[in-house]
Amino acid sequence: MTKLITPILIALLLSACSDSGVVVGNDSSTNTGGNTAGGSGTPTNGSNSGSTPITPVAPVAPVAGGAPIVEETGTGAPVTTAATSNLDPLDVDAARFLNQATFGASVKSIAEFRTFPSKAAWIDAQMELPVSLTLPYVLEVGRGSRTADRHEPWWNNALNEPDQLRQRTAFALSQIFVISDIDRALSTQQFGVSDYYDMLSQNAFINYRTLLEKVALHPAMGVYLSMVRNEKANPELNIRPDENFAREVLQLFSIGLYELDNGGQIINPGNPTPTYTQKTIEEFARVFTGWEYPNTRYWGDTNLGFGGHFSGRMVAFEEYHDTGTKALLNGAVVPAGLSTEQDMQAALDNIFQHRNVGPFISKQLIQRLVTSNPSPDYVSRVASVFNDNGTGERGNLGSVVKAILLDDEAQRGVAANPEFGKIREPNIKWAHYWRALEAYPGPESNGIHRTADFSLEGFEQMGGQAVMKSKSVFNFFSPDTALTPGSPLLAPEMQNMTEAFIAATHINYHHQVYRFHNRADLTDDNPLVTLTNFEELADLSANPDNLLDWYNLVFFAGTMPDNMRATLREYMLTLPNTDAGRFARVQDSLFMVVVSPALHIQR
Amino acid sequence: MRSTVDRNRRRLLKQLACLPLASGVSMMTSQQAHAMTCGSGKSLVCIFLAGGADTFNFFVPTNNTDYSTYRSTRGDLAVEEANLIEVNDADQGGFGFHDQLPSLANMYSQNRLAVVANTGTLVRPTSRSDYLATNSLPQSLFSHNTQQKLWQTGAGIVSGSTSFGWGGAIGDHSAECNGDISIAPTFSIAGNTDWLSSNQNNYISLNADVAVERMYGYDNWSDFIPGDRLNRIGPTLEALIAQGQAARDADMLNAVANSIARATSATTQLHTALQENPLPQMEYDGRNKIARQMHLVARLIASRERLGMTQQVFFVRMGGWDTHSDQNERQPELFTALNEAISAFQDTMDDINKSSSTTCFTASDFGRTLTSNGNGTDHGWGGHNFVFGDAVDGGRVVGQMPNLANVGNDDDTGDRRGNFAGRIIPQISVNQYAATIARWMGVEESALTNALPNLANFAQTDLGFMRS
Repeated sequence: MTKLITPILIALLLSACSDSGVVVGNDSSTNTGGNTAGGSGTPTNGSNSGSTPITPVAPVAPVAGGAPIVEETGTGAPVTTAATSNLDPLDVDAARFLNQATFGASVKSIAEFRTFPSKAAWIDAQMELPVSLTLPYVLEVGRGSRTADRHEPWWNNALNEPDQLRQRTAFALSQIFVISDIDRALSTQQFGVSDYYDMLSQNAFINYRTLLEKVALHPAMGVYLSMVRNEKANPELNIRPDENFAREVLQLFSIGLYELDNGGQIINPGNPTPTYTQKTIEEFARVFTGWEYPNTRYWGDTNLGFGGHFSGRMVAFEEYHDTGTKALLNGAVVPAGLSTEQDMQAALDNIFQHRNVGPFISKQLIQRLVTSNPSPDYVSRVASVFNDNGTGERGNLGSVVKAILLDDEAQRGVAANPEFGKIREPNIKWAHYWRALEAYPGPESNGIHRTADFSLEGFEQMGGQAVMKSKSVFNFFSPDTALTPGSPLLAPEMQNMTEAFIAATHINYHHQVYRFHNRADLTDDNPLVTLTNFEELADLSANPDNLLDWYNLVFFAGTMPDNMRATLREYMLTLPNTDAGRFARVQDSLFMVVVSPALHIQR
Repeated sequence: MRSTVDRNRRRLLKQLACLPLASGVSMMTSQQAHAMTCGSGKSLVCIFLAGGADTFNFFVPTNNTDYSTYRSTRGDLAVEEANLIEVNDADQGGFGFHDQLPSLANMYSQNRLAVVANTGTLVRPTSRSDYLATNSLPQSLFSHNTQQKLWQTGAGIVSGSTSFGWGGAIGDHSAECNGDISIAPTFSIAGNTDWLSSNQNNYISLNADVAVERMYGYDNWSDFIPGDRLNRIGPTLEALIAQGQAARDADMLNAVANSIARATSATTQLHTALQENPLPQMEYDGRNKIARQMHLVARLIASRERLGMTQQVFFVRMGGWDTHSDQNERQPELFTALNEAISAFQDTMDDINKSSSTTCFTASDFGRTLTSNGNGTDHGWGGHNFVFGDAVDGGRVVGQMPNLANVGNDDDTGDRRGNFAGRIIPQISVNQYAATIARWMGVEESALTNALPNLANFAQTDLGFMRS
């Protein structure tokens, strides 16, 4: 096996990056110089049938002189001591980065990424791409009560749209600023939930303070945490302002329960200092009074369709607002007599200035994108960017995301720390599978992706993660979940590693691999289910090591354990190197890879 | 009804007779069981009302002045007197169950449901002045996740990853009762829960919305993989799991591999037993999620002997109780679903002759404020809980119904100026409630002390609502 393998593989498999002369052989030791993916071939496995084709990111000049994106890449983590020697280290680094920043690396996305002079340049370009939305599709379908109408465009965006960093960040934000259509009142308001998600996408890289205000005043949030129509107290009737939003905006969206240091660690954990008291909640509850649905004619208007009521910004009705003085965080006081809007602005400013916000938000974003157990130094470096991104701006989320992905710990954690990484979220793992295999919707599916359960919604509920459908405002997983009872390691996604979810997703992967693929003579004939084409992988499997290299690069970013590789190699060699044998090699090895313990972990 | 019971008994005996291995194991464990107070078979079910249930509207005092006090404090959120099902407590007088909870009222009248009044997270007996001075209060009161954690662990502090659930402690005892079988005694039908967390045993987590299916590829099981490949895939999959379990310096990989190993084992074992016990006689609206969970619990209880188990511990969870808004619309829907689930479940237990060996109890994050926020309630503290089954010494209210008045109320957290908060200070600790239940399962005192370190702070460590 030589180091030429992977560049050649990529050249063979490249489809979309056709005329930019992509340089793929930057490892000078390979001395291959001119390995380019030329040709003008169209995709050979039908990725464009019925859905938006994958569009290459904005063309950027090829890397001049083969300047590597990073200077060096660590190889050989303790568990794996992997056979990364077969792989181009720059491809491996690209795959690892793309698994953190997108819905999963593919041969195509690795090649596209490598047309950029640096990771920072790729991030900058990503942040400039047009925003992929869900609401236009939901409106077009025209139903307000079907979660699937909202999830179908989400999957399409995750799988096919170029603004991957934005979509991945929005998904992370949707797990911090949680709303859920499990809620009785939102279940029939998919327009509003969809619009809320799009709001997160559109504002994924703006200032946290601006985003917090959009979150607070979005009518879907207003419904979910019952701030809409929250009224000032009526002592005669024993009525107090609603504390729901006031409590969760502090506990979950901004500062958390206890005082943190800049590294996100609770100060004096044995006897932590609460960030607020019940009295604080009551004061903030009074602040957040007086808000109604957008475009409402009068307070309590019951004639609410979607028509403008579930998008945009809630509106103030002063007569329902508590105008008294209120005590906020850190001794700040809002004077009496301010308007609904002024109180809101003052309260959000007050929250925003709390020193917990930077580490609290930064750590959770790191956990969603990169690793469950960031070092306090890593959190602190990112939180410092939150606190000031170098231009004097506090809370710039674009800068925060960039700092998270470009941090040395994100880039070299695999080599430095055996526990680096995170358990893959169910939706991201499945999206990665489909992206890597360039899945295409079934021939009669109208361009909609479906699993063997014939609906993505069913698949998601069986897998334990469905966009904006968690059981409560506490998301699918809690950021402080221990890996196992008593373990000092955190692993939020471990909450999804239950017998039920493991079995259900295992069965789904089985069906996807064995029943829904390009070989009509061997497959189910349900024309609604998303398919994958195994022919190119089958060609690779003539030499099992080539296929294993492909898995190791695309799925594992070079971290496939050596013993796993040997086991799969041995298995594949029991099957003949014939047309049927090669197809079987792909199916069986792919199935075992996607359900393996090792692939559950993004490293 | 009678004939159904007999038919089920016969079916059960037939199953046991047909399964010499399983029944042999069962005989052995039940001999050990006697020595360890395991009983001849016991199943415990925690029904967690997630979000903080407004239990002050489940069960309402109806003595004249008590009802008018309740009515005046709760305002628009009060349950009308006409909508209460009247019951009586020998010491405290008249009460009413919400009329959309008739199954609770019926069981109360049959003396097999007890109301445990004003229960909550407490470190030690706590008065209003203790609260105002923040003396030994449970950490982070009124927050959902912290109070759920304290309820489920019996602890007073949210000590991160080192706390275990008291259900897990009961499960450790149950595992000893069950003897040498590979299946865990503890089941969550509702995902992750601290209640069953243990450092000795991993609970099995099932999803009531998805059939428990064997995992393809293992044990020669797949309709889609040709046989010659399938019988090599199983061992290869198992090898990959073993590699993950054995990997050094890789806790995360080890944990994931262990989870997958448990999933393959549990689904294989449970699949057959559950297929044999579909319990179609348990009838309910198929959209009722808590009823679906309770149905799966009922099927596992029906499979108790078949699985070679002496004891089982279950956790189910019903969401939606965080009624900050539209409480008068949301609560009736919640009550109807909960009532249907409990009613169908208990009828089924009666039907399969498991009522005396099955006890269910409710728990929730916290009670809710007696005050209204316009059309809903906010996070409170103490609340009522309900324990039922034939082993319950029911038909009575355990503990004192709190004062519900909105002035001069010492049961209220209030403030220093005497203003009413509507958050009721619990008089019974989760620790006392837990200990009473755990003792029925036969958990030894030393294990109780370990699991419930604050229990010793309370004079009465057994509330007496369980028959031995």
